[in-house]
Amino acid sequence: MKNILLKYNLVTILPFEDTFFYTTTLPKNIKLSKELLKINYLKYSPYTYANIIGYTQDKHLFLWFYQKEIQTPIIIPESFLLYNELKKKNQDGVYIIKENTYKVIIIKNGYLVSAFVMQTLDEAVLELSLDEFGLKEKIIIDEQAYQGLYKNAYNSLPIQELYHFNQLDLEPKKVVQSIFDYVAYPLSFIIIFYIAVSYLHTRQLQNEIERLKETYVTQRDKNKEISQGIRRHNKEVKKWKNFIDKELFYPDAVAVLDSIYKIIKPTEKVSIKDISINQGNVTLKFQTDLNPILFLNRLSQNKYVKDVIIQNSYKPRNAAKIITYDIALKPLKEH
Amino acid sequence: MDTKKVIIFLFILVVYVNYTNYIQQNSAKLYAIIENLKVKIAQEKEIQKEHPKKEDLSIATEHLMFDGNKFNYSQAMGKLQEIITKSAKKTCSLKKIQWAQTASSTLWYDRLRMNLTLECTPKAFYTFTNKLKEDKKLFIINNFRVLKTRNKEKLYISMQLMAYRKNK
Repeated sequence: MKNILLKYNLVTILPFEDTFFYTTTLPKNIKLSKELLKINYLKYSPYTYANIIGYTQDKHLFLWFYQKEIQTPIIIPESFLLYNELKKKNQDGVYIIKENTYKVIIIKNGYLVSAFVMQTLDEAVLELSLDEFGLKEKIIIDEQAYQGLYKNAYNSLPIQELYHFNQLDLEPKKVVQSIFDYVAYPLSFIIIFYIAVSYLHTRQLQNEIERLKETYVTQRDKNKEISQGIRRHNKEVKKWKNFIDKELFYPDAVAVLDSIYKIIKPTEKVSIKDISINQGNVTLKFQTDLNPILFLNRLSQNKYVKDVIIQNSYKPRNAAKIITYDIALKPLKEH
Repeated sequence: MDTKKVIIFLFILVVYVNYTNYIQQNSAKLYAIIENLKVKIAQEKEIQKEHPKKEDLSIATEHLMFDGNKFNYSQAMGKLQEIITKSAKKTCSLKKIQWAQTASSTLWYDRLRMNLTLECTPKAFYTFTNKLKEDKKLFIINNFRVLKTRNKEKLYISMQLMAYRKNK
């Protein structure tokens, strides 16, 4: 994301040699507005006309003065980037970056105390700086190491640090106001457009419903007689179905009787002594010398018969055997 | 903040809130109504396409029962006895005919029960039942019993013959 900001010129890294660094301490850890910085600290600028960037770390105020007119919303001084990366080493000292010029960064107690550029390496100045800040270490960084340091410094810069260097006035209240001013009319237009479209759509649907209702009523009126006929018919069918279920549960007794008579072949000597049919039960008495199982099998195959048993059989004196069959009839539904 | 913009925006917001609360209708509901109406119209059109005739929808059941508008219970029983007697003429010997007691029915029809005792040949009995059916009335035979008589040709038949009377 930071690279995208850089690519689209939303972030500018202010070159080391274009800035003048000044540091001081504050009684409290506060963030000063651009106007306050100018009023209080512009007098320390070596330039007649200067812009100012401030950064507060604990009670230390870092200031960078520069002359260029830069329009990007976020401006980060290069010396801050390098300091921010170098302080990770936790080593106070004078860091000298060797490039076309000599960039000097002095860190004491973890804070940036000085940053300046020398055209030539002036050992006297460096010794003076060491003495001034009570430091012993002089660390030389060559050009290749500098390139790596520079790259890492930007990439590892926490995103919230960008906020500290933004040049826009980002007071929440003002931001909300400016956003509101910006979106009020478009938003209003969108709402009106939505209401209009939604209303027209609803009207269209209601018109469609009205049209369909009219069509339905016309069709229904056309079919009124038929529908009533169907309803009457269904009612009648239901009524008769109930009647059949209740009254015509078992087959017709005459038909059953007829089918029972038919199981006896004309050549067979069988006399039917008694037949009674009551609801689903039939009691049948045959008098014959033929095998009772023969008629049992024939009765079993009868379409009206569900179950058949031989209730009893006995042989009277000087007469053929009398066999009594008990038959359970199939309900009509099972036919 | 631009006051004019605030006022316009607030006004539009009020319009929007009132529109959503009081005017805007649920589109899903309207679509459901449309779908429902389309289905109903299709059903009505289908009925027209099939075009069932009036006679297709009527069931000819009038002849199956005695008409409650023409006959009260006793008259219907009398009519039933007439039909039985007429059917038995020249076929079976009607030995006994007895009206069964019938509790008033809560159904849409009454059961007309007649206990009969007949003496006839098997063939004559079939003729008797066929004659009963000539009138196309619905008859149910219960408690049906067939016994042999001393006269080998004839059968002794007892039964409860049930017919129906449609209530008014």
